[in-house]
Amino acid sequence: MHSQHLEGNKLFDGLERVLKHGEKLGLDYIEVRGEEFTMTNIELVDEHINYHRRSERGFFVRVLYKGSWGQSCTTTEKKLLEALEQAYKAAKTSPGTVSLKEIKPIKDNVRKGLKIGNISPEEKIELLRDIRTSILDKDKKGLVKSTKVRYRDKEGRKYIMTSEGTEISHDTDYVWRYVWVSGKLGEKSQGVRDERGDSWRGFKVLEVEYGPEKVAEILIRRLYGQLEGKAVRPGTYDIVVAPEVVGVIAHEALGHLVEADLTMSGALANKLGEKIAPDHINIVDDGRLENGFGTEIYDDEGVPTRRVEIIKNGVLTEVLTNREYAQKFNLKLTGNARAEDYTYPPIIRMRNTFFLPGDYSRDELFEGIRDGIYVVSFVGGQADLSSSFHVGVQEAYYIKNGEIMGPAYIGAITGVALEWLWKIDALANDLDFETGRCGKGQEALVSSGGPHIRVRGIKLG
Amino acid sequence: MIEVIDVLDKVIKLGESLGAEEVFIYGKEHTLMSYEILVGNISSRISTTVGAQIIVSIGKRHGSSYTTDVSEEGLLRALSDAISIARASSEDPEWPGVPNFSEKYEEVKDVEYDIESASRAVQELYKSLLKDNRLVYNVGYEGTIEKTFIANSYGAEIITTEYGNGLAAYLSVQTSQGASPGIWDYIVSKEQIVDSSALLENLEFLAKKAENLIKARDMTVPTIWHPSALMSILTYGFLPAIKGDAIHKKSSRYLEKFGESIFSKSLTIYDDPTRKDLVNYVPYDADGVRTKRIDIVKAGTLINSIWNYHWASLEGRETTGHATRDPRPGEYGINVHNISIEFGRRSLDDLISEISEGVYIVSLQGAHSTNPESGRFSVMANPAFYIKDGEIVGCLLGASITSSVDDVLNKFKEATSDYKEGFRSTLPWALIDNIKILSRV
Repeated sequence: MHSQHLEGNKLFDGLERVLKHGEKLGLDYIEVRGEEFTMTNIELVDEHINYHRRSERGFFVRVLYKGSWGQSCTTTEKKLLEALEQAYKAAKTSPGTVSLKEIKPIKDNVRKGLKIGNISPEEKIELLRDIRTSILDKDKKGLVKSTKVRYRDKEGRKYIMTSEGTEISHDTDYVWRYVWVSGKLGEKSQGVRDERGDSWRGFKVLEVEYGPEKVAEILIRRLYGQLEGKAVRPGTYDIVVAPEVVGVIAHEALGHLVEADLTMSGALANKLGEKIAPDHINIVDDGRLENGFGTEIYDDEGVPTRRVEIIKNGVLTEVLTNREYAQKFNLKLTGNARAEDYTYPPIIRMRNTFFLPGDYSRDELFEGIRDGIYVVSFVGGQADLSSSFHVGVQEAYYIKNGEIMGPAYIGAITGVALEWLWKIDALANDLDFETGRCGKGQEALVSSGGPHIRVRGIKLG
Repeated sequence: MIEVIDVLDKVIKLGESLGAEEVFIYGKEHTLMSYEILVGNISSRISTTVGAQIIVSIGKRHGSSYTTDVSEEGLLRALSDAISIARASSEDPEWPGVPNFSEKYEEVKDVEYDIESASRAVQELYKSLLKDNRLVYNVGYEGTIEKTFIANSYGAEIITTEYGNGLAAYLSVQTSQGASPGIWDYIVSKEQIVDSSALLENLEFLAKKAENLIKARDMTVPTIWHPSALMSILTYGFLPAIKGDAIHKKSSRYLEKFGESIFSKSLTIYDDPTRKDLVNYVPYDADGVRTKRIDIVKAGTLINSIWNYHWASLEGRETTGHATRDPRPGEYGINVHNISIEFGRRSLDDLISEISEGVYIVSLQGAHSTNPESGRFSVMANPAFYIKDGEIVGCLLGASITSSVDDVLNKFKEATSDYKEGFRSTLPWALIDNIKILSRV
């Protein structure tokens, strides 16, 4: 029964035993996910290092019985059959209406080859110290009060086996770092952040591409801007929004609303096929984006990932699904079922969500704005079912007569995304991404982005 | 769990023999029972996971490791990992060592929540909430039982059991003006939840009001804050400034303010994890220190800060028993266990009935972007409800607040006699005067 590439894997032997036992119980569907990984968490708070390593091995069992999901997880391999029995007991609590969209079972083995195990603890610590040193070196005005650099890497594998014949194993490797700098000018205190992760190229991305010098330069610019920036007086402004912030709006205010479980309860309910934005608005979630932080070949139900055209020429075209909601609402499969790790069930999550570029040059967006704001970077975003959103701002500038001027302090941009879409009158021909972690009860690694965009008549201050 | 405890002493002794001067072990057995109807689909879960974190000191070097394998062999591997990390790390001159307490305490309880009773409560609530103009996103139940064990080289051996269960629902109302903001509510309890009627009554009330969506306009009005909204600003804007690390680093804006009257005289804030009847009963903190009630603000005067062993040692003072740990990522910090604002004498209905024009703020969107040092925030009040002539008349769209936590706590006028248990809190509703609402629509 083993596929060739999984032959001899002890973890898969355990999963197969669960499937056999589940079949005897008369379950309609059985899915077992095994995971083993080593994760390193390092934190450099000012001069102080905390180094923590975790080694985990666990299993998530999900069964379908008379239309209800039963779930269980365990960290003890000896208790795998017990976990199955618990899942069965949970599913028997009450009958339901869940059924799954049919798939063609796939057997595959996906390797990433990040070789995180080759990076020594000393190299990791050195990277964190270099980031702190670079920040302090660039702080010519002596405004930095504290720094916090966090690093995380994961090296492991995930195995999915189902009663339908799916057998997929894939690497779960990635690297990630987060830098927080706080500073003070007079009575004003501010903190700024930068976050970067990579799940396909590895440590070199943090070491070279987004290395210490670059992150230090970005953070000092942000910090000085926040401390020295003049507060924006309340009013209505034309704004130009940079890719990082465009991405968080795409993700928070629109992306969550097109996760099929949320779509049917929110502002986009029953709007599939309807025009919800101007013709020039195109938004996608691309599960195969090259080097995307959320890129994977298969999701946690064994469904191949793909590019999903969420808004095409202003029309709500597709929503993100898992097998359960694709079946429930008669939608196409998109490969968006994701679980943070073996302690969670797979739920519908975004991967790499972004606005597609337009035809304008970046500079053209600023032309003709007499009194506006250029919003460059964010700290934290949140939205709700009505598409109301809140994005904290950590870097912004005044625009005067089409020119970018000094730093502006605006705290946050807020609004209702479905109204905002109609206020976007121009998109530039550039494209950039930021990487981060999305929380929906569990963490998912994601990218988001887009081009520079211009939005008319936004209330700020 | 019991098997783990039997080998802790052996692991500590072996650690010492391998060169670790101090060993600290913190482990958890986490049992979860849940039942959820999500967009009409049912899922249910029963699971138990275990894991332990081992921290070692070698002089001023330290290392930490977590494992899900809590067999003797697994713990010894984690120990050896922690020792190798400590050896690879550089010296930290300020490392105070692992918590050096030696108390012994055991409170093991065999608690079990009945998932079938819970499922009936969820189903009843779900069926009752379904109406033609509503989209019920989810109704869910969750019961958790957490057994924690702490041991160290100094002889501490602490075993505690913390538990509770909760029921929550989230829905939106479809109106001619579009979808309403998400309407939600929850209840938590130590006792098995079998009855959802109180939750239903409140959700029905709010959902009915959400049928009338009102575009917010700029106004400065009295406001009623839901316990959840209060907890948001306390968490992101107030607590960071009373934690020992901020005080030791001199980044707290309250550094010179302890003993001074800096908030409304009507405001008293305390942390009380000692009440056994509440879900936030925490007899020992994550350092193995016995907890106690701490007054933080008394009649407007800032009284106390909160500390764990690490930061208290660096400051040369006693810990207040507020250490927290998440052993999987190895996170260690300071937090309240059960923060509360002294309750008032009048009910929520009494307070609303006296407001001629105001806003009832249920939740703050974006509170996490509050500046932890200055306490300044710019958030959406969402959902928030418009109060007119003593009654809630509709749900506001696009209401934002730009202010500071200190300003809000200064304008605190009165707490209700009603209260709500929540995550690390048992809070009343609060009347806060003169809050400026800015329209974003």
